[in-house]
Amino acid sequence: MTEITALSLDRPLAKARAASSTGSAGHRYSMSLSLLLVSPLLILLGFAFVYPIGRLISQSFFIPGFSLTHYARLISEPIYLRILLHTIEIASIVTFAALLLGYPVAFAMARLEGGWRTCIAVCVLIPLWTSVLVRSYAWIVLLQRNGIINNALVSTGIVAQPLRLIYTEGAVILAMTHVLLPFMILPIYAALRTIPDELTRAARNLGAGAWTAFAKVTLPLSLPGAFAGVLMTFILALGFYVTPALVGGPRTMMMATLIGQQATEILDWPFAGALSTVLLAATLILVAGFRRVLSLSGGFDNE
Amino acid sequence: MKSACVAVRDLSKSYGPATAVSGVSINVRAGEFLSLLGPSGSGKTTLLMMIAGFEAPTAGAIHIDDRDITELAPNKRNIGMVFQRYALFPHMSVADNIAFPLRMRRTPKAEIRRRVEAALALVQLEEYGGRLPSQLSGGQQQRIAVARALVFEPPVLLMDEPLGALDKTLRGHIQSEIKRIQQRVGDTVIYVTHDQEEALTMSDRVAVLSEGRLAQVGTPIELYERPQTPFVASFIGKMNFIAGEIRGYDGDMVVVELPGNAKLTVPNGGRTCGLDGKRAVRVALRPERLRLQPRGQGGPNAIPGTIETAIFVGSFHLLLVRACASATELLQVQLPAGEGALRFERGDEVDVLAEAAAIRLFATASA
Amino acid sequence: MSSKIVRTFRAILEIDRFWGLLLAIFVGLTLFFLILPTILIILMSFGTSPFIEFPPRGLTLQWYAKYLGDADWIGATLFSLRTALATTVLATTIGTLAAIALVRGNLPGKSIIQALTLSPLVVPHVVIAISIYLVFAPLGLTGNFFGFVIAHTMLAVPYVVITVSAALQRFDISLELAALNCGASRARAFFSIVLPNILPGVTAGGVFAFLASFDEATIAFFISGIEGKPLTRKLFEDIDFNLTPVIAAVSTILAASSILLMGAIHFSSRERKQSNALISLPSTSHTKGRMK
Repeated sequence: MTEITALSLDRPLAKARAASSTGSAGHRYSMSLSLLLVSPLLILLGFAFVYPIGRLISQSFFIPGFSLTHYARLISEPIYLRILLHTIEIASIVTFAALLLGYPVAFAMARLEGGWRTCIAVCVLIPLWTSVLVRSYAWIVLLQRNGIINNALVSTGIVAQPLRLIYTEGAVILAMTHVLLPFMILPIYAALRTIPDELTRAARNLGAGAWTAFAKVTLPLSLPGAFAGVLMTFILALGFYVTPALVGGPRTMMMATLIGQQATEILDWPFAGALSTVLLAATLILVAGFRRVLSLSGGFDNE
Repeated sequence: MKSACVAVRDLSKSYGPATAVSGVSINVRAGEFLSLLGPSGSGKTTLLMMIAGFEAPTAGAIHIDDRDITELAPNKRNIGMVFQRYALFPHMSVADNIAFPLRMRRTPKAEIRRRVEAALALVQLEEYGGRLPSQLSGGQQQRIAVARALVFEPPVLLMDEPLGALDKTLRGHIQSEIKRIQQRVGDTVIYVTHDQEEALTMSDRVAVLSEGRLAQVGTPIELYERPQTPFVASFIGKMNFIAGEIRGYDGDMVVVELPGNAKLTVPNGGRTCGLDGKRAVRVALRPERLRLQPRGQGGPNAIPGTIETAIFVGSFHLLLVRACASATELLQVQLPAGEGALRFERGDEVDVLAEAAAIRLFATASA
Repeated sequence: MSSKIVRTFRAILEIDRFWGLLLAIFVGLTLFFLILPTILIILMSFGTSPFIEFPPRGLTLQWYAKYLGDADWIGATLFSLRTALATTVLATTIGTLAAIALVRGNLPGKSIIQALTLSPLVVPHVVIAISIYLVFAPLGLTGNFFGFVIAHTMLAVPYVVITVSAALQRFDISLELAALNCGASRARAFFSIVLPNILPGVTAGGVFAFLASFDEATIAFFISGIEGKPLTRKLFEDIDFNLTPVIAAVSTILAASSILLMGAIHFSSRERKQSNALISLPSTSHTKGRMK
């Protein structure tokens, strides 16, 4: 996710830094000019991002006085803890489903050529480029009481009464998996593409059957991509608002919808701040962990 | 190790309208080192891929020791292969890489260990078993790739331009390594390269391919001294070509006239290819079989000319001579460097003397 | 037909018939799952029934007409467009300047600034939304054009910085040095030599900024007001309370515009780069940001 984008930013910037340290500093802009150039950004981020979030977080610690009561509520009142655990549970299920469905698609996309690959790419990219609102709406249309699936089931006589499909946990999982699937597929695809064809051929030449070649060569080398996909999907699923808000019901409340509710309906800002801090902390820990694991494993030089 | 003979019969491969390999037939003898030589696009790699089983031929058959393997899956062919970029598994140690084919064959663990050690010893990298491929230099990776290809004692070894990524000195060194190993192990080797020097140095025989077809198969000497087409003549070593016309036959000699009235007398029989009574010919002259003398001193097979450039290359002098009465023909003459300075300079008028036995004639229309 | 698919799978994946077929079916079903909802909406927007129905009984453009005739919808659309355009201009400028400073400048604490620049992408939108509400409400910036522009620009800038930085990094610095050598001032060299060459990156960043604003749903939901209500907020409301195929029509228009813009960027960058990875990372991170 941003890890990948952060890494993609890291490398060019790291290269630029390295270039300056090797003495080619003659063509670098001066510090005062650089600061001038970056100041609008800093002001904007300061005012619209750092300050508001800072205030929200600090409110959770400081009103009234310094105390952790708002955080304690999370643990002491079982309903909130349940929501947190429920969010993690749903995020895990969605991530797992996306991995199961997404890896074969990424594999096919990486191995096929030309027309077939474009076909798959279209099916993956179009949903990606469509707004979440639109896609969540589509799921409402599909899963409603008199929605398409129910109509089909009833009219073909499979069931007598329309099933309760929407506003259930299943609906949320289904819709979220659909929305997040491309984020699982693309990193895995990218990783698979870095594996030279020669490696699979070498494995086959040396006596490995197709499955063995996949399991012993392709799969291990695609793991960094799979890992990135899993992480991206999980982090997104944790903080999701739109889809659970539209497709989920009161019994399937998740962290994001809870935060929204606490802030704007119940107007308990400090508590909303505490919940936000917990969510943020979880996200940051995952991101940091990812960076660490990636640097420890050193990646593989697939050349 | 028992080696096998490889027979390729009428092998063709087309991709839609484009033909990569067309009707190639070669018999590789058991224990022989055969190079597939040709420029890029000549089909040599495609041919190798078909023998390995990674491309399916459009027509033709491949036999190893009388066994038809044309339809056999690549992992059942028991052929060793060294890939262009080594294809070492980056996530496995060197020892695990080498052990891989043995594991595929369910070899017992103790046996695996023994053979991996033997393979490492063969390529003289005994201490490197625990390392990862990324920790090895290019030349070392190359040798590990060879070790892995040989550890399961295949009767045939395929090599796809394995030295392309290495620098010149390293290449020469590893060429001798590969030759040494092949002679010791004794398996049949089919070696793809575009470098004719490499092919000539290492091979028992060379098969020259051009545009998907087999141009000529022979020992290095045969290809160099008796090329059968102008393509082979110019691809192997350097060759001068001059247009000429056959004036007549004098006993068992052919008289060829060059522009500017120079006359060459060439012994017939074996020196001429595909002439079939045509008059217009291309005369092929090896630069190192030409001699220079000052103009007018006479002698058989003398071509008058003027020296345009004289270059000192180290082990020889290269002189570019513009043959008289011709705007386009520039002859390359190679004279050994020795004691004393070169007797000739730019602007000198000379006669280029061609050794009759070293002149070859090709019909003009042939490629 | 199906045997050709199986043969293709079998040949290329080199696995036997049974597994090849299984894989083909599995992948096919998943792809169908992926693309079905979008196609559904598009088809529905042309259907005649006033209730949600599929397959549509007849074809009509009445829902599009209704959308165009409804003051509320048009008002929301215009608001979204104005906001998005303003955001694009602002974010592209700020982001490009910052990218120059980060890639070619000499900044203290560069890695901190980098991390800060990317952080709006990491934080869940709902957290950003309520924080902004907290600060903007007392300042009267909620439900307000300026408030929206500020918030959206903050969201959009990271994309611009990423794409422009990448373009600057690809840019061959010896071109700029040659310009300086010929006597151009730094500013002149920048505007005449660097900028034209990084323009594709800047344009891509601009498109991402536009879509980041236009498609954004969560923050719009929280900081909308009576006066300032973007299209996404109106969609959200109507989905909750007023479910008619007009929503399908609006969704189709939204989807079509995103796909057209992103498709244009994708294909023009593929021509230029011809890279192995089919997807350029900015497009992934961009749409990921719009997820929240």
